[in-house]
Amino acid sequence: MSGLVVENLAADLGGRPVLAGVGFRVAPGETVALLGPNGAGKSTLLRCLAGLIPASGGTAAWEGSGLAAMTSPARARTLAYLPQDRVVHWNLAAGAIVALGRLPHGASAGRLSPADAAIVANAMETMDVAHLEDRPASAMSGGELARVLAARLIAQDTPLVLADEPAASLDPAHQIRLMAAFRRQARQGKAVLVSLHDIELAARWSDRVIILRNGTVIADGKPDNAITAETMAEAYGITARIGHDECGLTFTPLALTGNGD
Amino acid sequence: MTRLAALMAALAALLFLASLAVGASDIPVLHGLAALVTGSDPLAATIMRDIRLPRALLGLGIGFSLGLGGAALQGFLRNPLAEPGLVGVSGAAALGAVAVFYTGLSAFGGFTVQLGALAGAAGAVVFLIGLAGRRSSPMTLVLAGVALTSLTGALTALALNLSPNPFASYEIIFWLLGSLKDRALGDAALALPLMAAGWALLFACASALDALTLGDDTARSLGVNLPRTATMLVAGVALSAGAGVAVAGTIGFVGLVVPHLLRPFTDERPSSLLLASGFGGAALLLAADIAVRLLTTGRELNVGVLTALIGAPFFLWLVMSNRRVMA
Amino acid sequence: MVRRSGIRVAAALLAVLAGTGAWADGALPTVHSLNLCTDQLAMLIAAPGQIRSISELAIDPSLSALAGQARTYPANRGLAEEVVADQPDLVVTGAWSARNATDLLRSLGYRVETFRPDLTLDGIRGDILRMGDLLHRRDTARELVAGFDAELARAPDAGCPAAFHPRLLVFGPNGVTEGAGTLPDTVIKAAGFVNLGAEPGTGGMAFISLEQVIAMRPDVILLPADDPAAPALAQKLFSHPALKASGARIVRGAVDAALWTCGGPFTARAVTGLKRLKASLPGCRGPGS
Repeated sequence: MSGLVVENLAADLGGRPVLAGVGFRVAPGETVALLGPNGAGKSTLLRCLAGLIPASGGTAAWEGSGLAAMTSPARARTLAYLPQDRVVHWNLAAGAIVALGRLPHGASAGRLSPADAAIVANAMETMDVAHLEDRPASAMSGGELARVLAARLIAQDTPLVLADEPAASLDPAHQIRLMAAFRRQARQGKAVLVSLHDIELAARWSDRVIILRNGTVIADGKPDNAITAETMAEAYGITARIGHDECGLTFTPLALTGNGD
Repeated sequence: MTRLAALMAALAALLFLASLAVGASDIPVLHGLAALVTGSDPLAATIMRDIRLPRALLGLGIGFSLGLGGAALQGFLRNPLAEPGLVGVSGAAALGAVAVFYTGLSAFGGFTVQLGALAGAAGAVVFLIGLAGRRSSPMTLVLAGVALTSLTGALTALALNLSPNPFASYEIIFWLLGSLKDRALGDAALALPLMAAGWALLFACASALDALTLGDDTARSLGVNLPRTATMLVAGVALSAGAGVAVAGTIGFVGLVVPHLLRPFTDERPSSLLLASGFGGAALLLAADIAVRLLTTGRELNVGVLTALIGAPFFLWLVMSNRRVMA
Repeated sequence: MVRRSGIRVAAALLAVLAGTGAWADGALPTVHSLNLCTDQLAMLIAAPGQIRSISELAIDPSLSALAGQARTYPANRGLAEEVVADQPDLVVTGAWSARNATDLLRSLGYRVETFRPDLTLDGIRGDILRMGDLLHRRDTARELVAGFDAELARAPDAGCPAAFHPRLLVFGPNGVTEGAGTLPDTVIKAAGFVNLGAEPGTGGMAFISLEQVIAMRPDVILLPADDPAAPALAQKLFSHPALKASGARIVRGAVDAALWTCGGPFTARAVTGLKRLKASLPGCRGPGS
């Protein structure tokens, strides 16, 4: 079986079931957006796949190898994960932050091989942060920091890429740049799974959309098939105007359904 | 970064030689160094080999341990106020050493006092990681450290007061504000191998500390085995700081001041600070230990008093400038 | 012996004053001692029943030469309240100890006699006689002084050359040595040693570093007796390899510290002990007694 295969995955947080019976696939070359309301389990799903919390049931495997059974270093060479919290504890410069992505490949962040340095430079170019190379974290705007951290994710250069809300607090231009970068990664044969709140962004830049609600998948398919009035009402409890233009799907939330829970 | 570490190493080497040259008796520097190597002048050789050499070696080793331990703890806890002395690790090590030494258990061999100190130090680090947590605010860590320091200080005083030896109760000052005075080569021989083992463990954490800069989750996704890193760090700090406390008492603030002074000259990655901070700590402690010999005659000031005099105002300044973070 | 006359005059004067006291009816005055040194003098001189209480320090064998005897007396903690409850005729204490209690007791009308620490052999003789007068036991005091002088006259080091003055250094816990003018300094000199602790010119107790000990090239280093049951860092220093490497004769516990903590007839035994040590040194291989 090729790519990421998730079957019947379940996870608990503090004894409360958060994911149940989650199953989907992400093939190499695909960009998949993960949608769903707050508390639907998007972050938990990504953290569970990244090996940060244990699954209470089911399996997740990359290219046939169970993710949970991998050693930490092996997993770090299989998947890269970008958490929602944008934390940099010391005042590192952008270049040093992105270089941390090379740690799983045996690089010391202090002295990079030419090959590692090229990957880091390329990742920074991709995220439009090359000019920030020497800028310390404390002197970056929120958006700049988000892009630098995304560049670190790309520099890790793994076949599976997991990103939790990477577009939050980015301006529209950088949202587009970010999604374009993910799509480019996918074109290079990677599998990209990215959670988003912006439904239009998800619809226009991903090959497929998975919608989670209360820890289960309620829709999984091409954006046009997955993002419908029904799924939006079920997932978010809203009515929306869903249309199409020359670039793809358009989405405007209108009102609460009124009977949403 | 390597330039900074080399600079600190050169400074520490220079101060190591200066430490050999300073003492209560007037031995010409070159004559003393010659006697140290050749043993030509028996009196000078005794003073150099048996009194000044262990002192300089311990100054180097303990200073290195404190500087390195401070940098590693700060990196691991991502907390600029972490320091073996300040967070109570040294105090707990002193309690462990006192508990072994004054009860006469030390009669079972030189390593028993060391083991007591190591056990105390390890207990404190485990306690701190457990109670304060790795994602704690600086305030939580400092409060936990204050509580631990007070408790271990009180228990140390109690143990010393309960000792039937009339001089034990006067020795609280040594355990709380340490000194390198009149240590023997045997003390250095006991402490240095343990410290070196601790240093090796701490250096082995370097990449993990860098990864932790981006938070626990990212670090783990970068392949860091957190429980293993924590274990290595606990053992490393306990070995390096504990072994020093067992022979020289608690010497505070070196591990706080040095990483702070040096961090701006690095790229801020925790790993680039480790070696430089170790040598910087050695240089600071050697300098302070030279100063107490030059400043005071007769009853020598404990070097721990001097490092506290330098470090405590520095700490206050740090708290002031971090007020927003502390809240 | 000229300096002693002044003390004798003072003692005689006190004796006269004492004679005018309330207890001049022939019964011996009862005494309450608040200080380790006056405790010991009083125990040696007083008649049975005269001592009502001595300080609790007197039973500590590391400080008191009469620790065994001291256990037979009630102990006090140096508090004025204890004295008032006991109503003794006389209170004896150190000039610098329990000053608050001393002042309070005087204001309450008690007769309080204070003794300065003995620093010289003459001072010891004077204090023995003064205590004898205060307790109306002058004959006993004179016998003690005679015994003290007889002990001092003993010469187990008679075989040593007259000009043999080995260099001795007392190295006590935490680097304490005996500087010039202290009672141990007096004893060391009386035994014919050069006291190196008096050399740096510091009066009273002095602190000395291990390095200074070695650099002074002492012939004899006098360490306190080992206390294996209760270790302290203070003792750990005494096993420092530099001491062994110094080439000096290392002697542990040659002088019982209690013999020179306070001055008394027993202090002469410290002198004799050191003379015996001197006689055992190379450079003095003569017949000792």
